[in-house]
Amino acid sequence: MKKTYIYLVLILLSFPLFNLNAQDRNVVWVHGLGEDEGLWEHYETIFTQERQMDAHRKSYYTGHGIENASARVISSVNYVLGSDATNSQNIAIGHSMGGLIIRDIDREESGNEMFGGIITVNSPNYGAAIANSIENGSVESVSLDACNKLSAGPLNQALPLPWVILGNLTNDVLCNLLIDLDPVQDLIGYSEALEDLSVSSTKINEINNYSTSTPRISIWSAEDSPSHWHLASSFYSDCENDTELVDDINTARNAYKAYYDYNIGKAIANSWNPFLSALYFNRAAQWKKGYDWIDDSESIWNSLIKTTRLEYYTYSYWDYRCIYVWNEFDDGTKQIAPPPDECEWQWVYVTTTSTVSVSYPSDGLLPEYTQKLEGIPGGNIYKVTGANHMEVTNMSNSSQGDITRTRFDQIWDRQLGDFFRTNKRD
Amino acid sequence: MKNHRFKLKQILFIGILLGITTFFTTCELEHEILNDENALEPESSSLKSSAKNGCEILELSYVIETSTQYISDQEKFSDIDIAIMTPKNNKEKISIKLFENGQMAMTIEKLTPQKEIKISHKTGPDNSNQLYKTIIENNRASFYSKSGELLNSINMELPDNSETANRLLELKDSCYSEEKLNQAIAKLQGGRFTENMEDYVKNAKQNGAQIMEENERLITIRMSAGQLEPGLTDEIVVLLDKKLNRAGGTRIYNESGELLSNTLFGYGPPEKPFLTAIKQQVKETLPSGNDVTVESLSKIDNIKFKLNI
Repeated sequence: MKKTYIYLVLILLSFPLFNLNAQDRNVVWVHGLGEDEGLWEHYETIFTQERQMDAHRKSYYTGHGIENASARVISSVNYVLGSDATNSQNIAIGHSMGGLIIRDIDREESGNEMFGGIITVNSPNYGAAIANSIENGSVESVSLDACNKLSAGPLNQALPLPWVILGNLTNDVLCNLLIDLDPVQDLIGYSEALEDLSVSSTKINEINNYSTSTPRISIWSAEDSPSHWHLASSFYSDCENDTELVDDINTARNAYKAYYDYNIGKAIANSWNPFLSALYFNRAAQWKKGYDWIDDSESIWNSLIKTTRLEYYTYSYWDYRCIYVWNEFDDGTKQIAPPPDECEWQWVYVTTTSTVSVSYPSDGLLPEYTQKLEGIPGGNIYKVTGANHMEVTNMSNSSQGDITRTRFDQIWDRQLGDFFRTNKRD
Repeated sequence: MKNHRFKLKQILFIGILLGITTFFTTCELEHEILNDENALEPESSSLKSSAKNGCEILELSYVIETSTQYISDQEKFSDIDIAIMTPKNNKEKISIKLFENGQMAMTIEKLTPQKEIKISHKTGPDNSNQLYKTIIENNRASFYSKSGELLNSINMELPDNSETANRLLELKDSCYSEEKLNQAIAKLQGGRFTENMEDYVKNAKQNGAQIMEENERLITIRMSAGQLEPGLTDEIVVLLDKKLNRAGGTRIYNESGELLSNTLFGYGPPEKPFLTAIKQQVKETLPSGNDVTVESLSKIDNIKFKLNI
């Protein structure tokens, strides 16, 4: 009798559990190019524990492009979920290229939808311009330019190359930091993915031309400046620290500037000897190339990922006309003269307007405009501030808190009846 | 007196043409302020007493504001080119000290230009610690924020200046009386490195320099940089103004004859002909293949030069 009672209690106790499992919806977490199942571990673990959802998180080979990766995801979901693979309550969450993969599945499985709702996170919905910049050689030429400029100062100062700025950071490492980034190397290494992810690629157009009624949410992030170095920091530290490289590169910049100022100082101090002075002025000019490049590097990188616009900018600068003229032209003519005796000898502010490159928000890799899905209600777009392309998948170490988690919570807590609403576990 | 002047010139030419010293080693060198004479007296006295205690023997300070622009005949540039061609300006106060033992110290303090070039990017803020002051001493550069926090420090190997320091200390006995040193206020560049241009040019030629061009007013002289620092293969060309006895500019070419940089000088009005402007031009090939001239114009203010021996 006593035994029967215990069984009865156990059965009663396990009812809510069975009931709960019956209510859990399937959430398929899909990573992007070159990543693996570990990418979504942080949020999948949290929300599987907290919300009424079951996780499906696997690694897929992504190097053969979107269509190939889509087939792998479909096959995997069918295998794991069986008859539940087309449950209308299923949600797919895709980061980066993973967002395009789940949108492609939505298109391919039309009429027999695998996912009742889709969430893209920092996805290149309208292409990743960095892929185009790799294809047309711009990334390589920018990297070469950076290496030339960052080595000019040390080379002229007779410092051994590669010049160790601090720790493991040499001028060689610094100039290759951006080209060595995982997503850039992945794109270089996987030509089919590179082609698919290019702006205006056949695959991107195919996905965007498909009109779907599947509920969709788009999460996008904007990284703080300097977004490129934050992005590199996150990649190199595995999301542990998005400022480590920023500090190191600031130090590198300050070192180049210190050498510049030192040489200008020596040139001025030696101006009694114009030959010696010339040497120091030239050295200063070579160091200036390095710190100018570091100062401009965010705009340069942003031009590669196409998150810049060319705008007119009016500014003022000091000008002094009473300077010696010394020009030699290609045709052999020369212009060489002292300032005229009637020179005004005054510094004047000159105002001019020129075209400059203005940076717009991005996650360090993808501009805002490609991360945000068009044609969905404004309320279905969520912004994560201060996170880069990598960091958005795990903001647990962010100084500003785990904003990605907050955004997901807001999605799960959407109003009653909303497709994405996913209750907390009791 | 005549003999004394001859001695001065000897020292000067050796210094210039053989590159014996790297720092401030001529009896003709002025050792006082340029643009702001009145401000100097009290500092000068304090330095003098510290020098007697074996501290600084020389101090140079100035405020430098540099604006950088990009000049080209081309009309069309790629987005990347335009990002590289971002105009910029910055302003710093620089102080350099040379000590008796040949050690050098330098402080670079960031100032805000009167009209700062600041492009309004639409990206998030940069919350990283910004550099405010750099202190270079004992072959180490330390970087500080505005609040005085040490951001980082690196090794910065600088040439030893002890020979220069020794020569400066010798100058007092060989060239100047202390009284004369204190009286010697002059221009930074004008009427200094030569009092007699003809002699200067003659001596330069004897020491391997080559006269490239000469007219009534200007003369260009070429010399191998290897004569100043062994191992260097660049060629240096200087433009001299015979009328005003000063340098108008300098150029550096590499061994292939390619112009590396062009530096031009601007001086104040005749009644105050101090160095006030430095224009540097460097040719650069952009990633697109377009050529552009990077032009930096530096405004020098409050230059103070104090020799304290």
